[in-house]
Amino acid sequence: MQEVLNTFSKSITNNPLLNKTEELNLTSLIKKGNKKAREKLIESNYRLVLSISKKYYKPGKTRVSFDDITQEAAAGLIKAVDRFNPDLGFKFSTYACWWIKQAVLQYINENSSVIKVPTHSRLLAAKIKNAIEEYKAEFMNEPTEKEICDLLCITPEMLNTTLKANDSILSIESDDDCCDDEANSKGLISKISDSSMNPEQELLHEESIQNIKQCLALLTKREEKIIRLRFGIQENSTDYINFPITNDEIERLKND
Amino acid sequence: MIKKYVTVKENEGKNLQEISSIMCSQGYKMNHNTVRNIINSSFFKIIKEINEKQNLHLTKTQMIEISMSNKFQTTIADLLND
Repeated sequence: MQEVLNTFSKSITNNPLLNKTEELNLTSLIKKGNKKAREKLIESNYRLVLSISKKYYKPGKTRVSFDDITQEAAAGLIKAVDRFNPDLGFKFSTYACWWIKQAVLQYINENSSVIKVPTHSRLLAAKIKNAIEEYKAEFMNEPTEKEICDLLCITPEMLNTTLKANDSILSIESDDDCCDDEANSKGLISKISDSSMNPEQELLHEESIQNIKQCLALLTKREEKIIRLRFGIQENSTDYINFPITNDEIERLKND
Repeated sequence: MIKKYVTVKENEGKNLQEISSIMCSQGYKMNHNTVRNIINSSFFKIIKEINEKQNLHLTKTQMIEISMSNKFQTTIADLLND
């Protein structure tokens, strides 16, 4: 972030703010194809780029970096320079402001989440959030679903779909915010409880299995054989005493 | 009572008729109904013993239900396989 600020501050100090006459002169030169005039107008308005970028940069809330926002804002400024029409009588900064905001918002919308949500849905989600906060501040309690719908003139289906679509997504590999020590921070995955048994439970489980195995000894040879046949459990091929060779098998061996 | 039969074909398990014919060929004369009764009584015998050993205080109806349950039968089969 500091690097970007340094780069821009150099341009800002070298290019002081322009007055309306200077802007008009530069735009007329740009229309004639003067590249230096174009550069001058762009560099003179970097203040606007920085101020808007700072406004939209929310560390921790979105995944986008300040450098990227500034880059997009500068692209918006270039678009504004190319499309500015001084004949309409407005100042350049008034016109450029909208293009810069548009570029920044579009970038944030496309990159703030892993899943892309349409801009109208994201804007509606922001409206819903603001409406809830305003309601809370005014009435000191949470608004109901119907009240939000009435406030924003939307249907309950729209409300639910918008809120569901704009739910924040966290990766289990993402950094653990509560842990300041970088070496100890192993991401959210380290906070998920271990479902495996502790040593005591494991011992008890092992004991239960041993008990059940002892219970299996109660089965007679006939019963065990039937269960083995039923479940397709292989008999011990060398245990001829407990599992004698069948007459069918003898016949089959003879035929072979 | 919910009756659920354990799927045995996945592990090359045999049906009751096949088992009865194999058992007959080995000298244990029985029909498929007997095979089914033996299977059920065997599992009941096991759960009864487990109930006594582990002090589970299960009723007879509960024991019958467990002995006929898919989960219990496959678990016992897995232990026999070990």
